[in-house]
Amino acid sequence: MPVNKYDVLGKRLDKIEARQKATGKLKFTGDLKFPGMLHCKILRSPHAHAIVKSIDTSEAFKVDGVVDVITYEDVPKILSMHQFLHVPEVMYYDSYLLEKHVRHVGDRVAAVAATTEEAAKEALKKIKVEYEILPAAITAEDALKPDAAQIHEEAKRGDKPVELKGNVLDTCDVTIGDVDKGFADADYVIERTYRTSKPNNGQLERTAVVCVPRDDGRLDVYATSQGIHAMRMNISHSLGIPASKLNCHRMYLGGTFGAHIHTGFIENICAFLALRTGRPVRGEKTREEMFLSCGRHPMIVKVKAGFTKDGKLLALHSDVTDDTGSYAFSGSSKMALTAGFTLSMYKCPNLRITGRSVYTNTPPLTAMRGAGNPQAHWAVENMMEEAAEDLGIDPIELRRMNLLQVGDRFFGQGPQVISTIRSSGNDQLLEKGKKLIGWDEKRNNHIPYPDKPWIRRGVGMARGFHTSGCGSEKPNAFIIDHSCATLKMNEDGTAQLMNAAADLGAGTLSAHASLVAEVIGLKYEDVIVNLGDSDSAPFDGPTHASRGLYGAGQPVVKAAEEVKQILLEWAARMFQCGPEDVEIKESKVFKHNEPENYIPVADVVRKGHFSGWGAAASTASVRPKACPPHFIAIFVEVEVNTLTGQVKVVNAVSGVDTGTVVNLNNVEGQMVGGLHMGMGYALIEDTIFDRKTGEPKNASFAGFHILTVKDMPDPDNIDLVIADTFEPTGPLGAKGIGEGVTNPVAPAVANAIYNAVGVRINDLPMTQEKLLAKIKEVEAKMDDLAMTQKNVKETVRE
Amino acid sequence: MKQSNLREYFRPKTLDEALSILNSYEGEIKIIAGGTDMLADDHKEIEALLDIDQLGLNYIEKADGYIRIGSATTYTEILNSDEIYENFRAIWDSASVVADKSIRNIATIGGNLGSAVPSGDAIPPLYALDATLVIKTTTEEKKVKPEDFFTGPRKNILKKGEILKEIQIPYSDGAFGSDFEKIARNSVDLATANIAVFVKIDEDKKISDARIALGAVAPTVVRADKLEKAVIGTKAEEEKLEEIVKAVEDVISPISDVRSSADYRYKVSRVIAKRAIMKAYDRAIGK
Ligand SMILES: Cc1cc2nc3c(=O)[nH]c(=O)nc-3n(C[C@H](O)[C@H](O)[C@H](O)COP(=O)(O)OP(=O)(O)OC[C@H]3O[C@@H](n4cnc5c(N)ncnc54)[C@H](O)[C@@H]3O)c2cc1C
Repeated sequence: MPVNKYDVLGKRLDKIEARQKATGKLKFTGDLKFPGMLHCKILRSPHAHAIVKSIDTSEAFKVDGVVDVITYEDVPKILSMHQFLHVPEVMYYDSYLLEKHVRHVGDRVAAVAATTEEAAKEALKKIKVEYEILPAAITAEDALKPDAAQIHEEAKRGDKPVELKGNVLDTCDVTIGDVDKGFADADYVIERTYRTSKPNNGQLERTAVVCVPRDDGRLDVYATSQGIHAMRMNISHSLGIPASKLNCHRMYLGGTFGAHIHTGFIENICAFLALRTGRPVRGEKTREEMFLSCGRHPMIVKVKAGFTKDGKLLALHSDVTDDTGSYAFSGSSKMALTAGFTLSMYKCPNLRITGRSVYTNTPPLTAMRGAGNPQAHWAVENMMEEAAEDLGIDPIELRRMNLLQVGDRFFGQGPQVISTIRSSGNDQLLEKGKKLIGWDEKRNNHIPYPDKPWIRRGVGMARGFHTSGCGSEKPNAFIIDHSCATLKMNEDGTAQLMNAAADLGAGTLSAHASLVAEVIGLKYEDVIVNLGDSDSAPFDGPTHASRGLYGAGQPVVKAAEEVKQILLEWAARMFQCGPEDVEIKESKVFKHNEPENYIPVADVVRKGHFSGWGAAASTASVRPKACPPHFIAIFVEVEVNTLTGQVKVVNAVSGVDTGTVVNLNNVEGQMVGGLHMGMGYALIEDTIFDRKTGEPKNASFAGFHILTVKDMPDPDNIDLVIADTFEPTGPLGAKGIGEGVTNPVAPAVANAIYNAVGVRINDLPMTQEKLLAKIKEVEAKMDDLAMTQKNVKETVRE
Repeated sequence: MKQSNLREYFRPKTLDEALSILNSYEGEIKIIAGGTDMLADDHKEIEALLDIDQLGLNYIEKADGYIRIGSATTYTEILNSDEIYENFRAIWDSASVVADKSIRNIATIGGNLGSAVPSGDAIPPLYALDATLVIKTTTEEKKVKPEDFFTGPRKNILKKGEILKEIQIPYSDGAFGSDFEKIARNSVDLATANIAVFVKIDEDKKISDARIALGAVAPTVVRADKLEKAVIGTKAEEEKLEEIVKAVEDVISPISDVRSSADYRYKVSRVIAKRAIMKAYDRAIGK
């Protein structure tokens, strides 16, 4: 742990809402009830691709308790999009609230509002729909075939119509330097194709919303949202009503991992129904509906890299095929990000990215922890390992010699978002990780149990990063990154923060409270964070891109500094000295070196407010000018059972360079959680859809499994390493952490498996079944070889 | 999950009372034990549930030559029993890998048989240990072997008005050992394949009797009779087993589903067969 010069930061502090959560008192969105509240249910398409020929809702209206039933005929004829991270000009508007042309199993055909959930469900059964079934394209490869059915006939990018030929919604081709020359000059060129899977975000809290009409004709919206201002823009756009007609409330979230970065239609539909009926309308997705409305984009990533014989990276070309599902919730940004992030991994003079983003007849996909970066890491960090072996260079060394360094240019969200690296803990992480995992002893020692030679051990590593927010030196034309905060002092000495950043469950608001306490010199308990709403909180972008602390924390620090200045001025008047002569600590103000002779902050505020000196309050607004990478290095040791293909991660080191640690509990929580999620991505997580019919095969937690605590390494065998760094652009030196901790995990596991059994699976997840098949394949080859070389059989033995 | 047409919930205190409710209730009535299978889905047909948790059916008792395990005994209760650990290890092992602790605290062994899914972890040990199932009706107590109890995936012979009362398993004399093995995708998943093996050995430490049952690889749990015969007379030597475990393929007929392909099930069935035979044998010789 870094040396701690702070009073509040770096400690283990309870999240401010921890007690309420632990005692069940905290109200999540799904817990809210209002008098006269209606329940909304959505009729979902059983077909992956179809046209609604006719729809008859008359019987549904007759069900007792049904108040409203709507179809595509009733909803606004406004092409909409479902997130507001990016500037409107690059966003894709390609859907209506309800569709006549349905594009995936689970797509929205009609919606019912009824006095009970049961009545709403009953009414769904009474809606008669006649479908004309169309051929469906379930994978990107199928959707790219020349004879594939056209999934969208219209879409707009910003306010310009997109010319859709086939199912490609966007392409990219960016070159930096001279890639052809780079490859020509290279001594060694490697080319590989990697594929990734489609895990579901799998967060605990399902999407929920309650829209409540107000007496003033406006609408209160309570929803599981990663950004109240983004949601307000989404709903106001899709309903064609002014933003000020909506007041979106900030709610605590039960995890999201990106699932609530967009509105998943149900929010907009409930808002529409609430306006139509004049009654509160509640909607909540079932778990199956969660599986049919979000997930990580599966990608085909082709990488070609050229190195000198000494291991210097000379040229890199990444080509990405991105399956965005049936609607472009993320626009084409995931294509751009996966491709772009591959360029941010290592220093390389000649770079090129190409890609295409493709619609398929599967549920719309979203950002999921890492937003395209786990896919980029999967490709690059597998490739680096193979290159290291071919070049005869230690894989850690190959990475070290190609690292981006402090002062280097860094692409934070692809080449459009440029910032300069100001802090790096890479060397510390590589050195400590290597030692803690026992790299040198273990790389060539594969048989831990001599009586069970079929169990082989291996160690591997991967490194990488994620950006902290999306700030760039110059404002960019790609993504919105701006935060505000208002801070005011109360007459009892507490500080009250009003901002809009969402807390996804990671403790972001507690971290903001820590910043305020540290800057002003208050006790952590003396800071209150209002949940607030879009009526009262100034603008903020949503919480994504690991920006909740780094980005949204910056105006918090600025506002706190301004409020502190006011308090110091007032205290100085009270002490009859200059403001530079006083300090604040633990909510007490005193002259330097005279702590016993203090005035409580409360008294200073009262004096100021009651004497008409003003109000101790400030509003700050900051556009972050950088998006510093938080660097990560993951080391794992695995045991592979060569008879069954089962993999157990037995030891792990997660190393992060997160700048100043604001709350140690929360940082460690992210590290272990990120490891867990990355291991699931590596080994088992995938949602499966029938290649012909598009029917989901495992849209439940009984079919789609995530790893449990018992699948994790023993807690004693997980080492957490935090680099000692300070990010000059960050709030009190902090960077992000939430996404980076997942990004390199899957390739680290892959590289350890390779070290153990000499087998590589290039398409995620590396299931026991795929591994066993590959091990058998290699064994068969080995057996042939063994005719002449009898000791080879040792390597992979049945 | 909510049972959408459920109207009545009975919680009788005696087995007789329970049977009389089951017989007299006019609509669709179902037994509920731990509810961990029952409540996983909405059974729209069910109008009433009969909870058997007050009937005193959770017991593990020694009788003359056999042990009696009440059908409402939870996995946790099984895991707490030294008697089972020492004499019926395959059952103990299977209980230790069912689901997770919170489920094991309420889920019952009888519920696993009631559900009769081909992957039920409690089932293969009952075949391997030669168990007898005792079914209670208002008029009689019927005894059946597992082979006659399970009739297909999620199907058994239980009729309305019948309660599975207990499981009886004979003690073995001489030197014996048993084992249970399971392959799954993660720690709480249902089995991709599972197996239970029981062996007895003679004075020369050769296998003299064997019972082997595989789960999740056929419509019901299946006995690997050829393999059972083939191991007799061996000392479970690894090289020999390598060859003879191929015999499992004659009795299994796995399907492909989201958990696994048929091919993988074929491959790992052999692996766990070998592993379980060796472990059961090691236990028999006291290793
Ligand atoms: C998260 C999770 C993980 C699981 N993992 C596993 C696993 O790893 N392995 C595994 O095998 N199973 C697993 N299961 C399934 C389940 O827990 C077991 O099958 C359990 O044994 C069921 O017991 P129960 O008491 O809960 O049965 P219930 O759900 O109460 O009943 C199941 C069925 O049996 C009938 N029934 C119950 N008792 C009797 C009786 N005495 N007489 C007649 N009929 C009866 C009921 O009517 C019902 O049809 C899992 C379930 C969950 C939810």
